[in-house]
Amino acid sequence: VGGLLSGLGVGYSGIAAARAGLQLTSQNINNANTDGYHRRRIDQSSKLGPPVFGGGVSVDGVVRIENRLLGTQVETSGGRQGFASARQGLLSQVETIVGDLGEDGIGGSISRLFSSFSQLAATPGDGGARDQVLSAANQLVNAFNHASSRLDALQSAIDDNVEVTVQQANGQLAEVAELNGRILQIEASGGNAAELRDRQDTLLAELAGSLGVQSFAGADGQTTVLLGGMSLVQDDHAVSLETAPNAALGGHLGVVLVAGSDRHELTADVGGAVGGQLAVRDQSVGDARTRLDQLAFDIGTAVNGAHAAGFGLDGSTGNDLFLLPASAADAAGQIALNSAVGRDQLAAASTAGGAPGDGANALALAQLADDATVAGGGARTATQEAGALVGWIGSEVDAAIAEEAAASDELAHLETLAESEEGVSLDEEMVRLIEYQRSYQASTRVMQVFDQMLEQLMRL
Amino acid sequence: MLRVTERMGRMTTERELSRLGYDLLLRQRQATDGLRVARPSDDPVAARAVVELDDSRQANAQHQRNVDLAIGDLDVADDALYSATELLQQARELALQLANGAISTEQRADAVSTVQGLRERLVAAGNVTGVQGSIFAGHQTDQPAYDISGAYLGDAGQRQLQVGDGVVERVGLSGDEVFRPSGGEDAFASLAALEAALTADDGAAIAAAGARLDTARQQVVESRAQIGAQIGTVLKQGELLADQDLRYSERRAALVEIDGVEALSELVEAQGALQSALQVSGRILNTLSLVGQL
Repeated sequence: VGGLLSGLGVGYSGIAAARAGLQLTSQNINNANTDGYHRRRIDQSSKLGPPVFGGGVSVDGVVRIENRLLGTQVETSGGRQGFASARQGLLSQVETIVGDLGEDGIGGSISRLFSSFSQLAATPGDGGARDQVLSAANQLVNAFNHASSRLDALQSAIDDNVEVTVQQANGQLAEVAELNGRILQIEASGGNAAELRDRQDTLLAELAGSLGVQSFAGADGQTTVLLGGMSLVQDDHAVSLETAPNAALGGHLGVVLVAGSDRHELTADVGGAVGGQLAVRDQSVGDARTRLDQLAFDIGTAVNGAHAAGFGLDGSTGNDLFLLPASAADAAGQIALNSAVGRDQLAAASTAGGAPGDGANALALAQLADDATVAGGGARTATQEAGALVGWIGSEVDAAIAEEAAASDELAHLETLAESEEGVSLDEEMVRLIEYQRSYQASTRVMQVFDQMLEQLMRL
Repeated sequence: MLRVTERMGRMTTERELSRLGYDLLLRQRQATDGLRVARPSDDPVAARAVVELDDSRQANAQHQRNVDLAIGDLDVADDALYSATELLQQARELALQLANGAISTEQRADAVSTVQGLRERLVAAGNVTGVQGSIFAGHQTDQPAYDISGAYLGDAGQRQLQVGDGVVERVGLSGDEVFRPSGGEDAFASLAALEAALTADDGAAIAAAGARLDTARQQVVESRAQIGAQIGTVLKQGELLADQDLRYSERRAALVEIDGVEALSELVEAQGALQSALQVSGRILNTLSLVGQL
C-alpha cells in the first residue's frame, strides 16, 4: 500500500510541475512584447524518494535567462548610440543656424553688401543706392546677430535639457539602489526577484543611454553603477548628481557628483545623450561661434578701414560703418550698424568734400569682396570664409550622421543578439504549452492508475 | 543556432521600415524641390562651392547692372557729342561763309543771334544728364557742367565702374576733356570769338574763329571716338558677363540640382521598396508563427 500511495505522490508532483510550467509559459507569452522582459524557465529536478524509483519531480525555482556579457555590451553601445544620436540631432540645428545656403544666410548677406558697394560706386550720388548699402549692411548685421543669438538659445536649451535629464537620472539611480536592496532581500530568502531585475535592467539601459553609465553585478548579485570611475550606486545607496554653472565652460552647466561634502566634476566623463548634448554645446557650438565671430570681426574691420578713409556727401570722414567689439570675441553678437552713418555719411567718395559723383571709395569697398586677405587669418576672401564655415558644418553633420548610423547599427545588432538569448519566442512557448499540457494529462493518468490499483487492493 | 523571437522580427521590421520611410521622405523632397543639395550636410564640398558660386553670380549680376548703367550714360554722352559736333560744324560753316568780304555788315550782325543760339545749344549738349546726373561735370554730378556763358562748373573727376571681377573701366569724359582740352581749343570760347568777330564785322577774325571752331569740332569728334571705344569695351564686357552667368547657372545646377527624371525614378523606386517591405513584413508578422497553426 505504501508504494501505491507514494506513486500517487509522484503523480501529483508531475501535476504540480506541469501546472507551474504552464503558469510560467503563460507569463512568458503575456510579456513577449514587454520591454526589458527576460524569458523565464522552470528549474526542475528529479525528486529524491524511495530507493530505485525516486520521488517524482521537484520545481526548484524560476530561472531568468540573462547573458551578462551581452548586457554589458548593449549598455556600452546604448551609451554610444545615445551620444551619437543627440549630437547628430543638435548639430543639425547648428547647421540650420550657420549653414543657410539661401540669400539671407551669412554668405548671401556678405555678397549683397559688396554688391551694394559696387552699385554705390556706379551711382554714388543716388539716394536709392545709399539706402541699398545701409539695408545690405543691416541685413548682414542681422544675419550675424541672429545666428549668434540662436547659438546662445541652443546652448541655453541644452543647459535646460541637461538639468532635467540629470534630475531624472537621480530618480533612476535612487530606484536602482532601492531595487538592489529589495533584490538582495528577496533572493536571500530564496524568492524570485526576476521582475525587479527586469525593472533594474530597464533603468540601467535608460541611464546608459542618457548618461553613458556602466554597471556590473557583484558576487552578491548587487548592481554597481559607475560614471567616470566614480560610483553612483553601490549596494542600496545612490549618490546625487547636480548641475552647476562652470566658469571653465563659459558659465554653462556642468555635471557634478555630490557625495556628502565631496563634489567631483564629472562633465568630461558624461556620455550618452547628455554627453552628446554637452559635446555640441561646448565644442561644436563653440567652434561655430568662434568662426562666426572671427568672420564678423574680419569683415567689419576691413569695411570699417576702407569706409573711414572715404568721405560722405556731407564731407564727413573717419566714420566706421560697423560698431565692433575690441576683439573678435562675441563680434557676431555685438556687431551693429553705426547710427552716426546715414545716407549722407556713407563714404563713397575718396576726395574731401564728398563730391556726389565720386564713387572711388565705394569702389574700394566693393573690391574688398575679392581681397583674399580679409578673412581666414589673412588667407581668404570673406565669401570664401563663409563657404568654409558652411563646408565645415556640413562635414560635421555628415560625419555625425554616419557615426549615429554606425552606433545605431551596432546597438541594433547587439540588442538582436541579446533578444535572441533572452527574449520570448512564441513558437517555443507554444511547444512548451503543449508539452506541459501533455505532462499534466499524463500525470493525471498516473494518479488515476494508482487510484484504481489502490481501489482494487482495498476490495481484497 | 540563433534563436529567433517575434520581437526580433518586430525590431528588424521597425528599423527597416523606418529606414525606407526616411529614404522615401528624402526622395519626395528631392522630387518636389528638385534639389540634391538642400543643406550643407547633403554634400559639404558642393555646399561650400555653392556659397562661392552664388557670390560670383550676385557679383556678376551687379556687374551687369553696372554695364547697363554705363551703356546708358555713354549713349547719352555719345548723342550729346554728336549734337555738339553738328553744332560746331554749323558754326564753322557759318564762319567760312561770313568771313567772305562780299558779306554785308547787316548780314554778319543778323548771324550773331544764330551763333548765340548755337552756343546755347552747345551748353545744353554739355549739360546732358544720365542716371548719375551731369554726364560731363566730372564728380560734380549734381549740378550742370556749364553755366550759360559756357564756363565749366565741374571738375576733372573720372567716373570708374566695376564691370567684372577685378575689371574697372573708366566711363565717360569730363567736360574739360571734351570741350576745353589741355593745350587744345576751347569750343565755347571759339563760339564766343565768332560772335565777337561778327559783331565787330571783322572778316579776318571771323575766319580765325572758324579755324578755331574746326579744331574744337575735331576735338569733340575725337572725344566721341573715345566714348565709342568705351561703349565697345563695356559692351564686350557685358557679353563676357552674360556668358559667365550662363556658366555659373549651369555649374550651380550641376552641383545642387537633381535631374527631374532621375528624381522621379528614385521616388518611384523608394515607394516600391517601402510598399514591398510593408507587404512582406505584414505577411511574416501575421502568418509565420505556431500561434496561428495550433
